[in-house]
Amino acid sequence: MRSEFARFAVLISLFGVLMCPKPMGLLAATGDDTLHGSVDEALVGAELLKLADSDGEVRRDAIQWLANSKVGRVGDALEAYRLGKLYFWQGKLVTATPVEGSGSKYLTLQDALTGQPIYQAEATLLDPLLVVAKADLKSLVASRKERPAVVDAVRVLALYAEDPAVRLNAVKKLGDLRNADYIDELEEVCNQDSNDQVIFRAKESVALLQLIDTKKDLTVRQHAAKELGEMASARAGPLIEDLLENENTDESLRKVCQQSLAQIESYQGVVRILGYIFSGLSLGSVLILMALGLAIVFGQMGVINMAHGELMMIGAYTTYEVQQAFGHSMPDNPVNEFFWVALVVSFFTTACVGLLMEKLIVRHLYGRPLETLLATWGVGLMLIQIVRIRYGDNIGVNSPTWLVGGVEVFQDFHLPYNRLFIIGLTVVCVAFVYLLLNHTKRGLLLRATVQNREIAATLGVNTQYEDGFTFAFGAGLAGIAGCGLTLIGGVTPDMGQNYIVDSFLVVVTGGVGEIAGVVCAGLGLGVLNKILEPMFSTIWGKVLILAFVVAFIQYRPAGLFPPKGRLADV
Amino acid sequence: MFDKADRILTLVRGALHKYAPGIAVACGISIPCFYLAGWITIDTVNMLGRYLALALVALSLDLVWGYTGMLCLCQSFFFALGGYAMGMYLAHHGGPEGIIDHAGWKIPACLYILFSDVEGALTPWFWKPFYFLPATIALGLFIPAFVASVIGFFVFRSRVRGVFFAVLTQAVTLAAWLVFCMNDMKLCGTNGLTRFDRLAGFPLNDEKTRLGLYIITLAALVLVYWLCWLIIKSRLGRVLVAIRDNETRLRFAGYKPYLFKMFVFSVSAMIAGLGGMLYAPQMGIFTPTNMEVRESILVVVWVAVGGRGTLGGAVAGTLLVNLLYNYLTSQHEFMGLVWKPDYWPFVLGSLFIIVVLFCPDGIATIWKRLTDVSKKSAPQSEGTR
Repeated sequence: MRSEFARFAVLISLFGVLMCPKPMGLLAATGDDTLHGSVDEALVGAELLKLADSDGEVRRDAIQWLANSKVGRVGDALEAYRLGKLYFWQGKLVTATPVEGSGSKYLTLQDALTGQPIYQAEATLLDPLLVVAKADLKSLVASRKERPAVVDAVRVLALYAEDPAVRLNAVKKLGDLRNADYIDELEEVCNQDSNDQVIFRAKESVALLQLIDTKKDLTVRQHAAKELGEMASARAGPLIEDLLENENTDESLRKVCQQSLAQIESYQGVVRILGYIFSGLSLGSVLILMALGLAIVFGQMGVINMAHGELMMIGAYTTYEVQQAFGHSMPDNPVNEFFWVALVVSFFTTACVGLLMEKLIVRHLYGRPLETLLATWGVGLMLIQIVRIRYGDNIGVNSPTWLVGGVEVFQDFHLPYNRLFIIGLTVVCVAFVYLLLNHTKRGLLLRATVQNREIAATLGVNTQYEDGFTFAFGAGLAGIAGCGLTLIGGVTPDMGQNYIVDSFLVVVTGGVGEIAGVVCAGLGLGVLNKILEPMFSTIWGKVLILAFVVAFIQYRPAGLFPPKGRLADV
Repeated sequence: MFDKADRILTLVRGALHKYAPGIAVACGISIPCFYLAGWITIDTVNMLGRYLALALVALSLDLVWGYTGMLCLCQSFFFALGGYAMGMYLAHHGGPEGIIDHAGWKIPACLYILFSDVEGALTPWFWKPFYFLPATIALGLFIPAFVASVIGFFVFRSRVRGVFFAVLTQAVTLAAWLVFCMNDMKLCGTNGLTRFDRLAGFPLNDEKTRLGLYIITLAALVLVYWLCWLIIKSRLGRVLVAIRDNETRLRFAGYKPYLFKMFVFSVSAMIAGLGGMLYAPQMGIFTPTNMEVRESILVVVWVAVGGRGTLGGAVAGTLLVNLLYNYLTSQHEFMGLVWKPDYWPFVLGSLFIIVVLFCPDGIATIWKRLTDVSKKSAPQSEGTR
């Protein structure tokens, strides 16, 4: 018995080790050095201070000067100026954050240029931040006349921001504005920036602007079109199509454009197909995560747990509760650790609910699978209503900050972190279940019970205990699935219903003989779904999938991996 | 003296047992009488009429589940097919007059408002047969039966049974619901079929028409009940029960269970379609919500509460659960305690659990115990798989 527990402990810790290191490596911002130091800090500060001047002429000159300063941080200050969030206080320009609970009557201050918080002159240890009444601050707002210049300056200054992501965005935005005035700034970025992606996008933007600028020399435009084709730029596609439709377009330019368009389309086609496959994998892994618990319970006891979707929902609401307990909220107070705790807590909460269900209801219905189906549906109905009465109809779970965004594997092929995380979670869960079933004593007892309940009982297996364990474990897996689903979908009381029928289909297609059945069927149905969806519509895609499943069970009535032994005849 | 009372009681119990169907029909007929006497309103009669239409669906499920042992979760789909057939007829003859398309066909009002291109609007071909009442009734019975036999052919031939069958039919219902919700299908999308006005020339909001509909529904229910009873008592019915109790053995005995299953599945779909056709005019609207997965499972509750494997149980269960629903989904106050409509799912959920755990044969067994005076009690139906 002890060695069994030891193995179980090893499994659990393996689970923990696999899950715990935050995938920070993936998330660390890539190479990051900016262009600063070209202008004197003090000088910038002095010019910025001129925004508080009462003379409009002085302010306009200051904005002009700041726009050319190439200091990224000035952009933030100017953005605050545009939004009226810049304040003048004791000879300084500051931005302010409301003190919690004061109803924004009292504020703490940050230096507008550096973003450093401003401390009290004689700092007390308790709360060193300086708190100022709102009435003491003088708000500065860009006048209607200044606003275009400020907007322009903010756009250009974003090219020099410290964060490469901001620079990347800025570079793209300037290219989409269809204003040839920005070519010079973009070319400078091409020459000076250190981040490859930013340089690439800057070049793309330059080419875009050159292509649409009808005043430009024809050769320059042809060159731009050719370059865009070689870049396989997705953004150029609609632009080039516009040009081709326009009758005034020069014939030689037209020819280059057609070539480029063909290049772009062939590349983007490949990217699109890869995208379908990825989203298919992602959907498939969600389905596997759901169907895993379902299949284990069904394989073990012949019970279809109709409340499985609701157990998943409970997992999602547990995640919400844990989030509230940790005080995690999205941009203001991220406490990312909550998610790991939530995964564990959801597993155990739903496992407890599952155990309760098994002890009170399911165990009285062995050998009557259809009635279990009805009873568990009744339980699901009540669970939905309890949650609806307690929480109302919609609540929000915020992902941890490190799951926001995505990685661009290669040009125009983005993989969102949350989807990647769910795929990873599924892999870990499947591996865990596999190891548990095939390499522990507990798994041996479970498999014995599945294959022949009576003989196993005769040989001393406590089959009732095994059943309880299986049901609770399957429910726990549903909890983990629910926790994972908070990353990609809304949390509502009836969220379980959206996935449950699909995961039933996975179980039916995969069969319950092996875990591999669930994995194959889940991935297969997921990818098939995502490939059919764009070809037909979402709904016809679903109908086709169903037809496919029905056709499939014509010659494999018990699924891909039919169960062995006597269960096969049930 | 006790002896005498006892004997009277026995007599009453015996009479109740023997004449139960007759008594039920008498109750059904007495409702219009109550209405004519002014004791109940026409709305109550209408509500009961709807529940009788639902009882048809319950009968159809009982045939498939109670007697043949196949838990079917697409009964609401067949119900809705019948309902849509009748709804399309009613939509043709309802709503404001005068919307005529190029081909000279009057576009139903509820369909017309969904067209974005008003000028080029044409009535879709599949709406046209439903302009005529006889065609509507024929199609309303035929379409569900056809769909059921197609599903049955593929599913039963590959020997899909038990839980797998339930899951598949559930998926069929879900897919059908999604399709009927689509606006592109020209089936009025999630709005459903509305603006009903008259049925065979009789205005639907007229009290006499509603009373007539109740009587027609009651007659249909009696007729279908009788038909089901004939099926059950015949040799065919014995094969169905054999399928439920041991299909493998039946196959080894030389039968082809899938043919029998297909037959009973199609018949039950037809009955459910009839229920839908009678439900639509009494409800005054027919939307895709009537074919949700949830509705299918509700039918299962009615039958389970009433007692599967007994025709009377299915009808009684439907009426009981629906009347309970009707009562408990409004607010009540009792001795300072407030009952809210929100609590209804708890009642429904516990009904599921209690019936399954403690009373697998529903209230039919209670009725039997109360009324059956003969010493030998009927053989209990075996636990269905």
